[in-house]
Amino acid sequence: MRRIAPLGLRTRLIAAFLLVAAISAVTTAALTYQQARNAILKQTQDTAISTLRDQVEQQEIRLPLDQAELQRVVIELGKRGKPHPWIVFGEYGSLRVSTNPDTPTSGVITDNLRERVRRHDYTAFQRVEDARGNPWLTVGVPAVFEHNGFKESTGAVFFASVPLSAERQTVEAMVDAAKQGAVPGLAIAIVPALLAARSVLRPVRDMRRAAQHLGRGRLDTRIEVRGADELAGLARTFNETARALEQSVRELQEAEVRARRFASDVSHELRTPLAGMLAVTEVLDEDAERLDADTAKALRLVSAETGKLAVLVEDLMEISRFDARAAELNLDDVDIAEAVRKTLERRHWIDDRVVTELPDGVRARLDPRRFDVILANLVGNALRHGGAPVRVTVRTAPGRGGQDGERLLIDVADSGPGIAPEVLPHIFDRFFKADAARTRSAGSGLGLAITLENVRLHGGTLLAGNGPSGGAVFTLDMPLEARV
Amino acid sequence: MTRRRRSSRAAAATAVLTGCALLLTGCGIKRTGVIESGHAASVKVPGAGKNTVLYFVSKEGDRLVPTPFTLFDGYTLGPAALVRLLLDGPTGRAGEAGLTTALPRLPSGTADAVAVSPYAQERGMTVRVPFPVGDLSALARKQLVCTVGVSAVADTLSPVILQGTDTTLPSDECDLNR
Repeated sequence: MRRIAPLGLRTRLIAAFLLVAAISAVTTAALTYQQARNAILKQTQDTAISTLRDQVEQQEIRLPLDQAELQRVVIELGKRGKPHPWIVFGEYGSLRVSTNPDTPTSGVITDNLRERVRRHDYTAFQRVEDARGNPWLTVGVPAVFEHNGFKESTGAVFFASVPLSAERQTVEAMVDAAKQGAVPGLAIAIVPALLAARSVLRPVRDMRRAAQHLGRGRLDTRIEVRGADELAGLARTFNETARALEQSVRELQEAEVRARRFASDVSHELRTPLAGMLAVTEVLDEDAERLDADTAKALRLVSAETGKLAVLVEDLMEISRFDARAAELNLDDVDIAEAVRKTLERRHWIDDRVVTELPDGVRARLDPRRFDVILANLVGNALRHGGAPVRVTVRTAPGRGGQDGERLLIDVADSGPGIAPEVLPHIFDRFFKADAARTRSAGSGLGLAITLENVRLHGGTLLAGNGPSGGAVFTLDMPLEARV
Repeated sequence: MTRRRRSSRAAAATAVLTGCALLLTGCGIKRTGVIESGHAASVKVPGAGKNTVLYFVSKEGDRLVPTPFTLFDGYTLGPAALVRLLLDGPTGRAGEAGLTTALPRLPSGTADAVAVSPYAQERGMTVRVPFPVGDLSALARKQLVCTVGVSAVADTLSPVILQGTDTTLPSDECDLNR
């Protein structure tokens, strides 16, 4: 069985209302109509029957009847038709007369009625239709007389045929009235149906809108609670849920803000003493020549670790700026090939450890400092964890869908063993160590995370993967024209 | 569960629609069969009860029709004359109205053979006719029994024995409604 396509709540409510209204209207109209019609017909029938019988009973007839006598009686009866003028027929033996001399026998009196009346000495009636479909009432009254204390048939039977056209008009008028009353009734029923649908649908519509707002992140959305019905209960529950959700989200956000501020504060607090320590270790480094070997070694270790700590603190501060959304883009027009070359020169990666493939004359709008950080991190990472030679390829590509503008694509591929598949999803996580056994490394553990944040700031993406020859490949994809 | 609920809802809708359809049919004035409605009309027949009555057979041949017969006021016919009149068949207005008789005509010259015995309390009357009565139809016997039984003795319904050339029928009484 195929499910019928679901209709809207409003349509269903209105349809149900109209159905109920139609059923009650039709039922009432039909029952009233039937009763009224039966009453009208019964009254007509009773009047006609009793009138004809009374008329016949007032007659004095001489038996055996002859044509003239029968005609006289029939004419007499025909004068007093009730409730409508009627046609009277008289039958006796083979004599047939009527009030209409041209038609001594009737076309509407059935043989069935004639036989019944003649045989049983009972008054009887029948409703019939003539050839043109007009309704007639036919009444048959047999004449009996008192003979030796018994009612005895005279053999004469009188029939009256009464046209029911007036009754038919009345009945048709009633049908018309019922029809004309039902249509406005149904039209009026639409009004309460619409009101009822509206009273149900408005809270539902409010709730849907509120849920949409909630989904878009406006957690302070509330619904106005009207009345005390089930829909009001639903609205109240919705409000409670929204309030609980808002509170949980606020607590989470506050906790996150506190954690970030803590990291930021810690790095700030560490920065000043570290700056002092760096100055001191530099002085001590210069004097290390004059100290004995063991002390000099220890001094150099302290100096190196202090430097690493300073880098870590700088990185921490950088990442907390990203977390606080305080990082800004200082855009400038840059020749990409020159920018890449400058970065490599600054880090002294100008030997054959780094192979570049740079197109000439590609200009991009980006933040040169952040671009330097991105490239230095990627190349440094590749040299440290992968292996030389590192291949840097710069190219441009048309925008996806033709609407993003031209894109800058930079591949940094190393010649190392590549990245293990289980590590790949976490490669940009903070303080993530690819080798769990190697707890200490040259980097701060924040390098790739900072790189990714910088790329994102430019509106680009950074993908990590393995090249066809096995080395790790980082693919930078960002717009040629970055926008603030 | 859902299916059952759906089918019961469909059944309810069908019932409602059927009810509406039933109510809507029967508009207008319908024909009826023959409906009996009370007693017949009793008319006044001048001289009823005083006059002698001959019973002839209706045109359809299924029942008796009374035809009062008057010679002169105050005179009544003897039973034998009555039987002879009956055997003569419907004449005059009765004949014109198409009444018939189920009795055979008297062979000519045998009119005197018709005889009716005087009324006796127990046996009623015996009617002797000059033809066989064994194969007379029930309507024909009733014509004789009623004509003689009702009219021969005033205000009395008398049992009648029919005696023909072949046999004598048992005593019978006029019952017009039979």
